[in-house]
Amino acid sequence: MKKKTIFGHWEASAIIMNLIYTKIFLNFPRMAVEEGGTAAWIFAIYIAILAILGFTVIQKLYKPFEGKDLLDVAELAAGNIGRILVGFVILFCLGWGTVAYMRMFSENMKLISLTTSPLSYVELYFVVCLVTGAYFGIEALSRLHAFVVPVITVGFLLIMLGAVNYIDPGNLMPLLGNGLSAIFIKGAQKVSDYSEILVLFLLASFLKKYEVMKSTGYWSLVLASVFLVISVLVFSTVFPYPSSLEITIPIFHVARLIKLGRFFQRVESVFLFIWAASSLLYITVNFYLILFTFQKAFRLDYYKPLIIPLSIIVMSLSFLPSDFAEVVTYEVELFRSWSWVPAFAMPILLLILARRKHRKSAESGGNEPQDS
Amino acid sequence: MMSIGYIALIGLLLCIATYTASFGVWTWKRKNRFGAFMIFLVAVTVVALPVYILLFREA
Repeated sequence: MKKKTIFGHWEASAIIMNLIYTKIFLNFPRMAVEEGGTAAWIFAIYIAILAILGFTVIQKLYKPFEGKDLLDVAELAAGNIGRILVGFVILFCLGWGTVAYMRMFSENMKLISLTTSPLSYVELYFVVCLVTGAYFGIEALSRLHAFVVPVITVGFLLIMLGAVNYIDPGNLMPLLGNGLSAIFIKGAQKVSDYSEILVLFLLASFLKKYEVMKSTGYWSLVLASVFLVISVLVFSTVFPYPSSLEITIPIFHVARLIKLGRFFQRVESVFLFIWAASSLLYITVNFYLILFTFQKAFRLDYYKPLIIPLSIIVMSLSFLPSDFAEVVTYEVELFRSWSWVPAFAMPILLLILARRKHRKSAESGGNEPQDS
Repeated sequence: MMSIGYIALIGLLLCIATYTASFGVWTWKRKNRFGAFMIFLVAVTVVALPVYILLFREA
């Protein structure tokens, strides 16, 4: 009999936290400054609150579907067609995340430390990691997250603490930055930065209990948003606006400033370590979930024969954009503006439809879905 | 002009595509037609996409 993988609250929280706060090491602080100006920290808090509110609605609707992931819910709501369509949407979201982040991480890595290596060589490391991770499966990945994510978090907090000497609170003035409408109306769609919460609804079948899913969602969203806000606050107080808009890799530049006496210099090496760890975990989990979704949406018996071909497709797709700027444009302007639709609106819609069907089948004496 | 490295790489991709397609055939025989179709699509893409990148984008 095949053993069913179940993991706990901490492992799942570590996965979701890492998926959300990997953006700190890429472009989140700068994107927040672009949106909010000197009020970037208000913008970061605002989108965190929106994400938590969105999750609250979804978790309330999720209650009758304990132990079922989003694909199961889609099947309950709209049958096989629903499962396949939702599968395509999830595959697109995860696929874009993997492809774009692989390219962005590799380009940034090339910019910082592997300056003379060709891009394909840098990407090969990511491909080896995602293939290995997918072969080991979600149980190994979840345990690895439970161990590595605290290390990444401590490293990140050390960098933030080290930058305390360079903080100038005056850089936060004027308090409302780019204005109320830029932050609260135009900025609202950037709740898409939390779209990785979608992964939690895919992991629901591994979490088994509704209570575990609920607490995982809140813990990971709250902790990730605290770190995102800290990163924005430190970045926008260390680098004055608008010169902060010119910085490509914000936290790397913060880390480069840190000099604590004669012995604690070149702290960016810590940044490089946690950044590489975080990005490898991000891409590996995303890739595993692509395989998981592919298997489940198309009712396949195995996913392992698809690991090598899909990894080659992911790597090839990451070469399609002509340069780094093109990837960032697609990522920030399109994906991070609209991914709230599949992450928040789609689950709400599916859950409402599935609940209606559930109620109808209960009225007509049916017993599906199981309301345990 | 195609180098020997390109030819070796295309050969490797064809091997991977054949392996993937054989999984597709196995799935087809188990009456999962749509799943098999998706696997065949992956098998075609695994050759077509890298070849496009190698031959057209690099140029």
